[in-house]
Amino acid sequence: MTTGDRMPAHSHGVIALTASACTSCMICVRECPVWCIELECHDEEVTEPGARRPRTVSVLDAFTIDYGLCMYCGICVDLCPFDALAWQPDFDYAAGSAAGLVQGISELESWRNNLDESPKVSGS
Amino acid sequence: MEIGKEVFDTSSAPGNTLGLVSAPLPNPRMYRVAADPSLRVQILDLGLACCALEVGSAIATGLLVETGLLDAADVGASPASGTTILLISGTSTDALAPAVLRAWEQLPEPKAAVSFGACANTGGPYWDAPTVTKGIDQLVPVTIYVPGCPPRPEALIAGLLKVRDEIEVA
Amino acid sequence: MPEIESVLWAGEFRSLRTQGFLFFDFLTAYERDGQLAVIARVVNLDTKQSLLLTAKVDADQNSIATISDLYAGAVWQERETAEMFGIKFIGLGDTRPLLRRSMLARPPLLKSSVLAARMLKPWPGQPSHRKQQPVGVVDDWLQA
Repeated sequence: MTTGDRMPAHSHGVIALTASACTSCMICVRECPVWCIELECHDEEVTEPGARRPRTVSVLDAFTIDYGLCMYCGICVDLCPFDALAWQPDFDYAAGSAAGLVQGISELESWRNNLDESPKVSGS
Repeated sequence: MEIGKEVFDTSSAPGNTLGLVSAPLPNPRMYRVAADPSLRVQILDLGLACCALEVGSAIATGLLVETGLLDAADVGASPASGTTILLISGTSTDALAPAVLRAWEQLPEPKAAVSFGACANTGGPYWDAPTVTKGIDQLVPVTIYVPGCPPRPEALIAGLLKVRDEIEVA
Repeated sequence: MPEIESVLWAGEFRSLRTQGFLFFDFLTAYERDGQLAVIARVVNLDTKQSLLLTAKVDADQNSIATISDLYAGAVWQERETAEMFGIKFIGLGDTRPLLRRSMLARPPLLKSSVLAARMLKPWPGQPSHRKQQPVGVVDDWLQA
């Protein structure tokens, strides 16, 4: 079975993470009504050529979504200022344990395989 | 410790069971899984909340086809055929828990439990509610957890195929 | 929304019944400024008129008269309101709780009741270097 053809591209199947776009701003974590997102990060100093002072950037260490808890409301996707989160129509990720539904960076990034880059138009 | 033991000790609780402990349970029904015609399973659909509609949708869209009794050829075709599946979809409260446990205990072997949707998996949106069971795996041994709020009917089929895989490996 | 004296609560519905408000819609409670109040809606199906009434419960006794003798459907909702808010409905015959298995803990829907699950699980939005509280929890929840 594959992702059904009859499923709209942005249907609430699974959330794909683009880790390079994430700034660790924590908005998704704080706004999640069911506390199913966890994020760990650390600060690093980056010196750019020609810059007077080094710049501090947040580096993402861990990002997990517990799909056992997730209520698929999409608040995290809607609020992410950098579109690091996006809906994918995939559904085939049932697990043999509740812990198996907790997905980390690599699993969440793997959903980007068939990321639909078309503009998000509600109701389409 | 026996699964669900501490949850079911309601000896101190008020004697209100809403008839759940004594009412007769429906019989499981036999279904053929369209994605794998060799797989025929008996399902007792324990629909406790809105997720139950997705099970109906799986039947209405032909993903699950109600069928007759199992014969010897089916058992040979897929080792999982003939398995009775307790499909728990929706929110279980601690008040309802004895009925869930009874449904599991009354099913014939071989059997497997499928937890369908966020409420059955962990309590879901009601994870902080004092009256909601935080995952039906506190009550019965769950073979496959299907994520979603609700999961799509296709996700139910994908979950059933995973149950088949688990049984074939075992 | 008409607010009536708690001693007049049941009498008001008795009078409304004589005016044709025979359909009972719902009854529940709410807490505002530390004071519990009940709220109920009844409908006159002939005139399509509906009325939403509220009354503060007696603060000392945490009680109010039942209207279950006037509206049979109110039994279930008064039982629910009793177990979730700890309000005593005077004259309500059936007081068995619906969902709670133990009545030892505080009624869960009072604002001062802390949800045990939220005590046990740390809020993932709590930054290590800043103090920030999740919405809907009491001020000292981290210390509790």
